[in-house]
Amino acid sequence: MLRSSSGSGGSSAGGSGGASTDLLRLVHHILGPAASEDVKHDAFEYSARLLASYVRPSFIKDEQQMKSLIIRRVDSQQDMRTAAEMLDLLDRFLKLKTVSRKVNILHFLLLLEGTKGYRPPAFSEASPEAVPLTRPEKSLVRALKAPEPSLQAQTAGDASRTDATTATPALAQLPASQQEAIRQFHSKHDDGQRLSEFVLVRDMLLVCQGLNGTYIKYNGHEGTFTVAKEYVVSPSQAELVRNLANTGLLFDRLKSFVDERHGDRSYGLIGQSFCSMLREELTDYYRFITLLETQISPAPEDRSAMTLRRLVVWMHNPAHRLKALSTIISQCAGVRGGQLLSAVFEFTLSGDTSVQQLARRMLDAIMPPFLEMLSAWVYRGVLVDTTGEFFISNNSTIVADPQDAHAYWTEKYGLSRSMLPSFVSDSLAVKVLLCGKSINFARVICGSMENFMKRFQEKNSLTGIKWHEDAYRRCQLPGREIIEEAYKLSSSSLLRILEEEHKLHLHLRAMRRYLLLGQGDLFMFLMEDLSLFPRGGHLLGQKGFLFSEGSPSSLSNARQGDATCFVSLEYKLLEVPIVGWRCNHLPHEKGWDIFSLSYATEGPISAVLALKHMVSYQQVFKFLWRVKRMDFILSGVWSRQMVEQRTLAPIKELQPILRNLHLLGSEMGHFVKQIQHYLLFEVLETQWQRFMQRVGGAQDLDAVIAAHDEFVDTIKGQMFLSANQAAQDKLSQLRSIFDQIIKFQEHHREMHSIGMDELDRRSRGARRIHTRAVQGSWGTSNDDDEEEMTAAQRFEAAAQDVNAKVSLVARTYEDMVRRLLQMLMRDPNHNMKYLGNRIDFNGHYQPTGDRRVAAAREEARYGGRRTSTA
Amino acid sequence: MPRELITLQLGQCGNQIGNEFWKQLCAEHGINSDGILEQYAAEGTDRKDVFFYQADDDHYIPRAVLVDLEPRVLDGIRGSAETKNLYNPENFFCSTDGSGAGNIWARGYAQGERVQEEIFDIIDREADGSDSLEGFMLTHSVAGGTGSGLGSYFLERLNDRYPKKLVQTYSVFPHNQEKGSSDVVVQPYNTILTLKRLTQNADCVVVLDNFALNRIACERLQMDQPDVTVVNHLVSSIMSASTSTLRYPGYMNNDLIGLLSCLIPTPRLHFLMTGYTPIVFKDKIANSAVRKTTVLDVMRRLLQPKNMMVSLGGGRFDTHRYISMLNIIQGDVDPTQVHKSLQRIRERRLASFIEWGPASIQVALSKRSPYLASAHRVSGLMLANHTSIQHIFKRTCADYDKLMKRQAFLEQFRKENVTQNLDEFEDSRQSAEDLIHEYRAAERPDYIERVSQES
Repeated sequence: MLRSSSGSGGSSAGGSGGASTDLLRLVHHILGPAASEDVKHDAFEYSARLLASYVRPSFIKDEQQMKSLIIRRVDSQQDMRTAAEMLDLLDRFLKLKTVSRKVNILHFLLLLEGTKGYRPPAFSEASPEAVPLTRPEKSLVRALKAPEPSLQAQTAGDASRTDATTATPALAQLPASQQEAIRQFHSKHDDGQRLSEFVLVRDMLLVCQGLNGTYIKYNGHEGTFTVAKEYVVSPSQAELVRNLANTGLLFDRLKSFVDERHGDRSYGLIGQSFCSMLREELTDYYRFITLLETQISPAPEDRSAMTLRRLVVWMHNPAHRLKALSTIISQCAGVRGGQLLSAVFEFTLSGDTSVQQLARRMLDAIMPPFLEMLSAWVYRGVLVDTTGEFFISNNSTIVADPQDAHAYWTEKYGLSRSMLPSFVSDSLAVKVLLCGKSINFARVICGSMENFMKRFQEKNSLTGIKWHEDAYRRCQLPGREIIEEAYKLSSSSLLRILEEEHKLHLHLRAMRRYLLLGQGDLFMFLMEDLSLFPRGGHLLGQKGFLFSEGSPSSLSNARQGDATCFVSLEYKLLEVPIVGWRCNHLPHEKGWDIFSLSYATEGPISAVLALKHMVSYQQVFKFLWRVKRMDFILSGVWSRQMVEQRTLAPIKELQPILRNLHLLGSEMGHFVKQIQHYLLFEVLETQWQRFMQRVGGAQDLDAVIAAHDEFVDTIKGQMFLSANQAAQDKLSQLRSIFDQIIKFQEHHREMHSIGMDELDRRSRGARRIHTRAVQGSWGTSNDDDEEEMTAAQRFEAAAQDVNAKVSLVARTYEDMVRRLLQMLMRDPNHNMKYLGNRIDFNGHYQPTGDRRVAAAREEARYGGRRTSTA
Repeated sequence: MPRELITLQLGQCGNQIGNEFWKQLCAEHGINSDGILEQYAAEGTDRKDVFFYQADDDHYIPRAVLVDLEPRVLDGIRGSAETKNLYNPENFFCSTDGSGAGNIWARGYAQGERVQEEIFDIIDREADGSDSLEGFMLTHSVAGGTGSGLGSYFLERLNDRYPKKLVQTYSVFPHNQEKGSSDVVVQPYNTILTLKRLTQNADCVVVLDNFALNRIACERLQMDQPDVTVVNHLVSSIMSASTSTLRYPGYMNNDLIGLLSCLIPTPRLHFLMTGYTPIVFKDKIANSAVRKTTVLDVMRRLLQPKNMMVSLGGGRFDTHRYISMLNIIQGDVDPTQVHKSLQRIRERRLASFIEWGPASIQVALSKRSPYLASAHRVSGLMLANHTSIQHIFKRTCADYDKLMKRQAFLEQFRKENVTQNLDEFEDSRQSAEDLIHEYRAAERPDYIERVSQES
């Protein structure tokens, strides 16, 4: 430090004359009489320089400041006790009236204390490595870190007296090493060829551009630029060279980074603008170097001439910038596109303002291609990203298929998270995606672009987006509002297009009607129409059984909605029995047992009503159809029973059996009604209402699709159509119950024909008796009686047989319902419990015995289980 | 495919309530007095063809046959500006001798034999004009001569002629609690004789108890003098509400069979009582406390005896049981509320049901006409098969027995073939007794076993 300062402040050596004679004497005294005059002179010069080099630090104004400086030093290094002692000493010293220049003395001591641990390089072996860094602060730090035996000695000794004298022995201890140092100093300078500052500076400027100079060359061994071995430079110069060489290295790295990527198309547009930004920086740097080159002149006497030290000072800022750039590119080495944006953006939050500023400029430079892509996507739904830099990905395997718009919507474009810049939040990214997707969808699938374009013409660019402080701080892309607005506009426009041009709601409603079998009208029509066809619906299916276009609407004058919806409702008979339902081989099964309706959608609507949903809808439809058919069967039986009540009234023996049939029928009817009620109100209507609410509040097509997915899933789940075991069990139980209903229908039919035959026989018998009576003979003969007897027995046997069958069905049926109820009541889903409660509203299916006790027991059982699991 | 219903309006009372019913339907469907659809109703999704058909000029004509043995009421309908162009003029039938039935069942019945050809011509023409006739709705009173006598005759004949069609009647039972207020002394005879046909020949009887209707008119609408128009309005409200699921079709209950099959477990237990809330008549809202109408409120109120259109004879309601019940809720209803209401009613045991079979409150949600303003968000009709209906039969039997003990007023009956010897009376009385017995049996848990043993 002392030496280094000589370069700049050496001219002020000397000072007052009295001081110099003192110094001379001191030198003589130290060196002793044996020393030659030359040596003495040199030493004197040197000492004078040393002393003169010391300039009282301007920053120290008074004693108090000095004191606090010392205390801070002591505080930071010593234990509390030493610090206290030190403080005491200081106070006492400051109070001394005999000493006048207390501040200077203290400063001297402070410096002395600092130098104690480390030996000034000139006086040591003068190894170049020990040359302290050029920055004064750094040397101070180094000095502070050194151990301080002198302070120990100082505190131990007499404070007031030792101030001046301790310095003398400290210096006095040095003569041998100093001599050595001086010798070395001279010898070194004499050994090699000394290089002038001018040469060094000229070379240095080359080095700063990453080139080899004449004397300073890249040293592969050390990995940096060094002065060639044959030349000698002073350690300080060496240090300066090293310093500047670092800059050269940084520059070289930067340049090769840019050169590697420049013109590489796969690096992408953002990458290219990044490179071009870097190149600009490099150009700036070149320009600066050129400027410096004009400054150097070979005349060493020129005081304004460029020296290495000055060069370092000049280079300070560019070097710092290069360093910042190099830090940034080291983070950006393996990344591209959105990741590059993220990497650069990270530095905009740097605490180092120069890095921060640089990063912000850089970000501004590389944003335009990104914003171009963003604009094209957000406003035109076009992905202009050939190298995959943007955070929207394109699945090229998906092509626009009007039959399956769902796949196009959901899979064609997606978010590429890896390319998502950190300043674009996930939610914004999703909105951006939806925004572009909506426009793209409107154009490609809906084919209605004009409306959109009109809406977007006024403000169709995001390229004007500029970063500002607030946006940096919040880590968010500025212009978020604009994008959100665009998103709202495009999403709502797409929804409007779907609604207005493609009648989304109408289709959804038609779908619901489809599930509800056209409000029952269609059902009745089909049931009655199809029941006319013989068994074996597959024949019809192959023929393609289709209603004429007009027929559905002629079913009723009730207006069912837009005709187009009905046109796309096509009727088809499946060729095979429905998987999942057991095929019934009962003789009376008609074509409609394997009947199914399918709803065909295409075009934009198929984005919502996708193919996969159609499968679900068909499942649901089949289930509802099945239930409805049970209802139809039971209604049919009921109305025949009402007639039988009158027609079969004469056969008294049949009445109890008919009553059994009535009761069983009404029990079954109750069950089916409850199931229907559940399906309608708990499942379809409730879910439909929720669905409509969600569709009404939907901002974009995604929300509509999600709502629809949920709708379909929920109704499937609640209709026991999910794949889990519990649902499957319930479904199969229901199936068995329905089978019993079909059996019941059979038995009723059997009973009906037995009754009608009997009625017929009896009336024939009565007629015969009547005619014979009219003819004047006996009303009955023995033969007749016998015949009558066997017929009556036959009838009775047949009736009892059917009755037994009915009883069996009744028992089986009740068992099955009970089992189903158990399943329902055990189900964690409250909807299932509710269905159970409905079916057994009046507790009829409770176990026998006192119902209340049973109910209590049940309650306890389930209550207990509930608490134990809780 | 509509499941058409043909309405037969018999006698003075039958035509009056029928006429009110048609006026109500026209208002609900937006059909004006000339049968022409109002402009505002052109886009409706309601189903009009159950009750109406369209003429060549597209105007709507009720599927109604109006029959009476005296011209006064029919002339009134034909003369009224509101209805004169509504009905098909060919569907009016008035006996040419104009003597009427004179409040004698037997005379009405005998007239039936004479006029049946002509009337069946009309009915057959209407039936042929339907695609898929479901059945007949008959409106009449059981007390007078025409509605009861002619009605009984037609109930029997309809069974023969249309054995597979449903026959539902809206039968007004007389109001003879206080002696003197009844102008027909032979009411009990007429009622008992009609009751037999209602039991044996009808598939479903909606019992409209004149006494209860008058009581509701007085108490609930705070009227001093029960007005016949108010009572008729109440009846037409019930009729229109009970047919609303047919006219505003949904997934369930969109035909009469579907509606009735769940209410009538065995063929003889087919007498239904009704309840309606909130009761409104021309801006006059019954019971000013009825402000908030939620589904639960409506369903709860429907369970209260005071809202029943059948007088239950007071007290001992608790031994009676609901065999079945259907609540038709109209208006702005959130389906999830039904769920909650049913749970609540079940938990609180607000309704007691038979124990011999599964039974519950069925709920049908139906649209309300968009063309009629309503003060209430929700209104509800209850159709219930309740064992307490036996009271009205018991009351009739008691009145009958008093008269019969004295053999009073039988001369007019003896003049006609059908009741010449009193066998028909005895037979009908027995039938009523059986019916009462059946309902009483249905109250007990062992109904199934008892009835099987007896038969």
